[in-house]
Amino acid sequence: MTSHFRFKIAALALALVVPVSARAQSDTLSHIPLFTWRDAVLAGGFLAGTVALRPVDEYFATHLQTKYAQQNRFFQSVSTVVRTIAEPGAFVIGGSLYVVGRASKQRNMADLGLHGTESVIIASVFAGVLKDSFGRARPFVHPPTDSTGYNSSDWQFGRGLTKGDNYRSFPSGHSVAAFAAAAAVANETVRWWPSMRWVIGPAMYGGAGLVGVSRMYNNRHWASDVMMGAAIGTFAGDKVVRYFHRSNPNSKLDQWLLGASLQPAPGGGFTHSLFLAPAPRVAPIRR
Amino acid sequence: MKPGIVIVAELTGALASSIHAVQERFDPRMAAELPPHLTLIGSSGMGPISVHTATERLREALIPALEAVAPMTLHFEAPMRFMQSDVVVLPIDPNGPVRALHESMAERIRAAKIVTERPRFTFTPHCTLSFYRELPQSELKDLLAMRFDEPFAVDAVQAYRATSPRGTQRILELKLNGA
Repeated sequence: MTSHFRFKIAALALALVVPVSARAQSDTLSHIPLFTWRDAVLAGGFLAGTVALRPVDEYFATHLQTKYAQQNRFFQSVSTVVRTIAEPGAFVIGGSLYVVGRASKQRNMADLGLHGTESVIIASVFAGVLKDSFGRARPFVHPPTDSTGYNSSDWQFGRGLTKGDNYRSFPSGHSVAAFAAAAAVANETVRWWPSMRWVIGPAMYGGAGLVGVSRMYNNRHWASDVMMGAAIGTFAGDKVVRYFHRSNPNSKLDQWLLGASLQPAPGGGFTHSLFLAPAPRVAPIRR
Repeated sequence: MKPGIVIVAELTGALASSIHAVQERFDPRMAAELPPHLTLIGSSGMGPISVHTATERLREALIPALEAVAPMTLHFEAPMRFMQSDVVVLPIDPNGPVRALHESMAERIRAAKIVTERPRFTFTPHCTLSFYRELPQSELKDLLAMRFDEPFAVDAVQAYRATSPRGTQRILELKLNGA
């Protein structure tokens, strides 16, 4: 084991210990809760939206599956592009931002990539459990030409796990990823450019909404699946950014992943080193 | 044909013969490549499978997907130009059991980490009547006026490997055995 490598191991161990004192210091700061009453209002709104869309699920499915809509090359292309940007794009873009940000020592870029990717992963895991549990049939399973016609009420607990992906409609995974990334980007960037809130927010959430519509256009999801996916993604993105920047700004994970730096090595590739001092903090914007 | 592996449901009986005759009349090159069929994997929904994929590996991936699928009866709608192009196809309803079959196979192929190309369009199953030729207006009008209304059964799928522009080889046939 080289002395250089031993030093890195020691530095890593110290980095995991140092935040204890930093946390003790942060305890003296006023505690900012992760969840607020506004979250309850937002969750209630999303839930009401999901329930309200249930009766019109079949209406949207019918109108998006007309031959005119489905044989439109432009709609098909847009649908493919936005779907790919959401998944796997959200992971690829987030991961790339993090790596490039670390390599070029641009903390904001690394921060955006890290928290965006964390949001997408957390939201996707949660959505995956719901998909397996609710076991809702996708719209294409019972089309209008079927003897039963469209059946948006075909749910069965646990069927997503036993019968496969055709019964994992609720919630929409692509919408979850798109809204998680949109919420993380919107919440991160508003800290840097508060005046751009009404430009970045609508652009990001509008793009995420387009992903949801593309999933309905492809007959993979009902409208209510998309609404619930939007809810989960939005909450995940919002809470990840709030947790790391306001509720727990001295998080060990953040210090480890953002306090370390990637630098080009003399023999090619990159070296990974850690700073023992806490990483500089960007002042949080109070909302 | 572009190199790659496609999974199709071959048409059979009198319907297949009449469609083949139409293909020979309007696009002999295409008619010589494959018998009349619906493409289930390798066009829309999921792109062609890598030509280097071993037949056994593909078979192992597909068998679980086909176990629960029952034979199905489908019917063609009126011929149309595919996505506003010069390609003329006989479309079928893209949803229901045929879509479920496509999605099940696609899921297993992805799970088996078999390499496929990205599709340009969502799953839009059809039987192609004319592909290579840019038809004159009069011929296009004749083709679009044809009808193939009788229902047909799909009870098996076949995999074809295309290794050169003019060479295709059937490498696999699997029955739909579900109840």
